[in-house]
Amino acid sequence: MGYVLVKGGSEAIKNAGKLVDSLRSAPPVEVPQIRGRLRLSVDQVMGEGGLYAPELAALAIRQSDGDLVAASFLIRAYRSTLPRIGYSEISDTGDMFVLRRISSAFKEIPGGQILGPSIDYTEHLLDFGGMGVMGDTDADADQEFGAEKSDIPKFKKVSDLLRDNGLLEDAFADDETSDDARDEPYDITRESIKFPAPRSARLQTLARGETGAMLALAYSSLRGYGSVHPTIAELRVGHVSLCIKHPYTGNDVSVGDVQVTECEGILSGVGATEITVNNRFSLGYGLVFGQNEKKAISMSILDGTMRVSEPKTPAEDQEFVLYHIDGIDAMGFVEHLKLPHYVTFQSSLDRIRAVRSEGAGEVSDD
Amino acid sequence: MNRDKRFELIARANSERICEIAERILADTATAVEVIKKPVGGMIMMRFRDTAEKCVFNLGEVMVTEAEVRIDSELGYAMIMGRDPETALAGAILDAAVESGHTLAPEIVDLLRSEEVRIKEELQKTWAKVATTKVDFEVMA
Repeated sequence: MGYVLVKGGSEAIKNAGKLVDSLRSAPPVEVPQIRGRLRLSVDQVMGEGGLYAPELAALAIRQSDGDLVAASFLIRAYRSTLPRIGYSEISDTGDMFVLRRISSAFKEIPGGQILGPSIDYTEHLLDFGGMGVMGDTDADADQEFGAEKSDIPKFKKVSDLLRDNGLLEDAFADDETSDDARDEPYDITRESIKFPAPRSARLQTLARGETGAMLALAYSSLRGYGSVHPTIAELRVGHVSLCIKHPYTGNDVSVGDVQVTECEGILSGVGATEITVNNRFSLGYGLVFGQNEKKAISMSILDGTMRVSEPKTPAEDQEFVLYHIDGIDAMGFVEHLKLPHYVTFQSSLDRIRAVRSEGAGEVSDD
Repeated sequence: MNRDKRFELIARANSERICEIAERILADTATAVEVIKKPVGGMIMMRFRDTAEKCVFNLGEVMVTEAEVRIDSELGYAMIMGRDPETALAGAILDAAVESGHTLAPEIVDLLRSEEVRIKEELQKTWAKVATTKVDFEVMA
């Protein structure tokens, strides 16, 4: 039996939309408010949507009533309508304008530990003082910080220090799926992923993965369903330039800045694991759009777990991880269950009735 | 100020200031601005080198708007981050205006230089605030 076309419900659909509108009871939220006040949500949507566009992410969050996966879906759908102008020049997080960089591996790091914008170190208790209208930020409150102007430094990567001391595996050392055979990095938006996936495809897929799904899988490794429990060599948040070749001069020029979070996890440490045959550490790597530290850390863990040649746990299985962390794919598949399955279910019903009537020695009940 | 620097400053400058001066160029009847590429939104796939394995990969796309115009025989090009057709077109007009020696060229260059100072000061201000969050460890005796 083929699919049967049915019509109907257009009035109900229209009214269902109106009913959603009627539940939006408070005054409308302006897009700049969402961008400024829900910045971590905006960052999450940009990352999972795979498009760095803060204004549009804020708009998507408003349209989806705050459902971040649905907002990411809107962004992913919008991006599919845009032309791809080209690829950027290769950015390096070593050139980052740093807002935050911390290390859990070393107390003293060159340039120091910079906490930056973070509430990690304050109490996590509901603040009833903030009920009602939140206060305005005072743009001229700089003196509150005791801030003094000084030159903006660049920070040496902690991983470079480890490498300088011969404590890190050389790049590409024993990763048989590495990209050195490929001139161009894989692009999962152009070519479906195949397994075993090259490293560039793994990193790209992780970078647009859903935060919650990645957190869960990374956590499963920490709890023992996997062997990676990293020590964070460095976590940094900051701005990196988007550079292209100028169409007339052919030189590298910067278009603007993109905020990213980066995590380098040493795949060894507490309760831990893997010291390579050369008595060296290896690193797990995470890089995501915006400030999204739990995703960057989760990514570095999953980058580590997926290197195992014979996976024994979900977090170690490339196919399992990479096929299940995409929020848009997952949401689409799960939510499609709400759509009419009248015909497919009817055939299940027919089958179960047939089996039952055979058992009862009867024919059919209709 | 060379063309590369001009491109970078137009991309980061205050869009109202860019648009204001572009409108004056458009209002000038002696100058014919021909639009070569209408301002369209598009994406640049941003590439990074991972610092663990030195592997180049595609992180994700960045929304940009680009435009291209011609004034006299000189082309002008601009790319702006985000979805902003007006500023992209205005930026391309400014780029072409400077290149073709428009009477407003000195004013455009002055504007970009003042924006350069403003952008640098803002960064320094941000950094100064960030620098106050540097940790001074005290070793317990």
